Amino acid sequence: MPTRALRTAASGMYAQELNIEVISNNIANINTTGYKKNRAEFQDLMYQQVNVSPVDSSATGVSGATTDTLQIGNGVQPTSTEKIFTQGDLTATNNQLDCAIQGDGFFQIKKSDGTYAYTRDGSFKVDADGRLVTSSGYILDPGLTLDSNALSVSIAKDGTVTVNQVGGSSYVLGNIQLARFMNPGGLKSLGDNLYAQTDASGTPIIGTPGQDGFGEINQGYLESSNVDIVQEMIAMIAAQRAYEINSKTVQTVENMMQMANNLKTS
Amino acid sequence: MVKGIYLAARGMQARMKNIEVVANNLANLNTTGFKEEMPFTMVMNQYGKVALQQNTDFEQGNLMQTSNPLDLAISGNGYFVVQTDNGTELTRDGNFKISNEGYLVDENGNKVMGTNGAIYLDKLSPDQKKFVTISTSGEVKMGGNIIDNLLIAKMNDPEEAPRTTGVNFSADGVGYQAASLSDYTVKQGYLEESNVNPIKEMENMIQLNNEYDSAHRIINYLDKSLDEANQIGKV
Repeated sequence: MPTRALRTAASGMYAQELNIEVISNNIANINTTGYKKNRAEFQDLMYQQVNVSPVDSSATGVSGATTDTLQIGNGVQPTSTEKIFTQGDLTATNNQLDCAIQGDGFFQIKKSDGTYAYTRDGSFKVDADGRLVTSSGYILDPGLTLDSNALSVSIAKDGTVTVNQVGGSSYVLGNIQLARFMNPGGLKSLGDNLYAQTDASGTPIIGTPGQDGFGEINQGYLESSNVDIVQEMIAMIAAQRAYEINSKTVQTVENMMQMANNLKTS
Repeated sequence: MVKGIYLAARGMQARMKNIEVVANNLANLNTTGFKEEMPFTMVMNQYGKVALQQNTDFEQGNLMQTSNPLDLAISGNGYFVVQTDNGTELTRDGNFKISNEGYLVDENGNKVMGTNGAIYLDKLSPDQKKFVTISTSGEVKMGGNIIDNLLIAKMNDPEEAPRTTGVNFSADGVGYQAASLSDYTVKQGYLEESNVNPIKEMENMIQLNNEYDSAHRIINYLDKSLDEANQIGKV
């Protein structure tokens, strides 16, 4: 029975459903600072050698059916979602603690449990102790602490943080460093705009912004989400049509099964 | 007449199997590196002996930018070579990553082959400023030093290549040789999309359905005729 075609079509419909979920998450994050869009990854399922086994009979001229086999696939399976790290647009905010990375790299964040996370969201704040933290309260690493005399902060493209004090004097507080990965697509999303390293991403490489391929830091800017609404809408339309076309397979097979049932009319 | 019924029935069976092929193509509309399987044709000689012909459409898929340094796509003729537990396989799916041991591997953890064996990317220590760049000819560079070349293969007989799991083709059955540089371009930060054309598949599906219908009608007519022939002897 041709249930393979039905299962195959069902796997295709399921894959498109998942695709829509990924697309809708992208669209929901169109205004999330530093958000990187996702893409669902699919792989085809195993192929089987199928015997066509044509109806055979000893009737004159009918015998001698082929024993050739065919390879027929079993549909599709979702394997992973991959992040797409294209640059997002920089938006001027004129907020002196907002930093955007133009190019490759992530800000390194130390979480309360001592593990590291990485983010492209540079909307930093100062916490009660004067430390530079992300909007969710995670501490920037290596840490930078402002004292009570600090009037303003200027951050150079290479990450050097200079504090201007009351009275006009200024001093260098420290450097913001960036982390890069050999395969950023393999990073794990933790939510809160944070990513964690995995085996697939490789270990982080820490470096100075603007050198050795690291991106530059732009003070007073934030990186917008890299989701392009038109592209996502097109992807959504395509996914919906792909879902529909797989449902047509189901209809067609059903139609054929019905004809087979009607072979014997009397 | 009995012969006709059998032949028409074979026609129905073949169309049904072909719908499975079309269904698989449609399910893989979004599969990276997927190559469309064309519906097979049955070549029949005068004795009703059937030979099967199955072809894959190796047309280039669109390249989609992902900006991930380990996403690779081949433009032109050629395949990445991966070493699996079941032997050497050829693939157009260049969605690669790094394994625990520091090797370049595919989505399923199979090692990607270079001209000097598996490509070893080294476990990076934080002080090493090494980034992978891959040139259009397949040179794998780490911080400026060429560490290996991607092995890009050409199948000796693409039509005979059996598919395995994933979008891979088994190389053991067909054999392969290194592709010449003029045949392909490797694109870093890109993936190749599936080359399935949904309109073509829809056409195929409609046509198969109609052919199935025709074969079904033929059987009905022949059945009816045989029934009438059976009536001749009756009083």
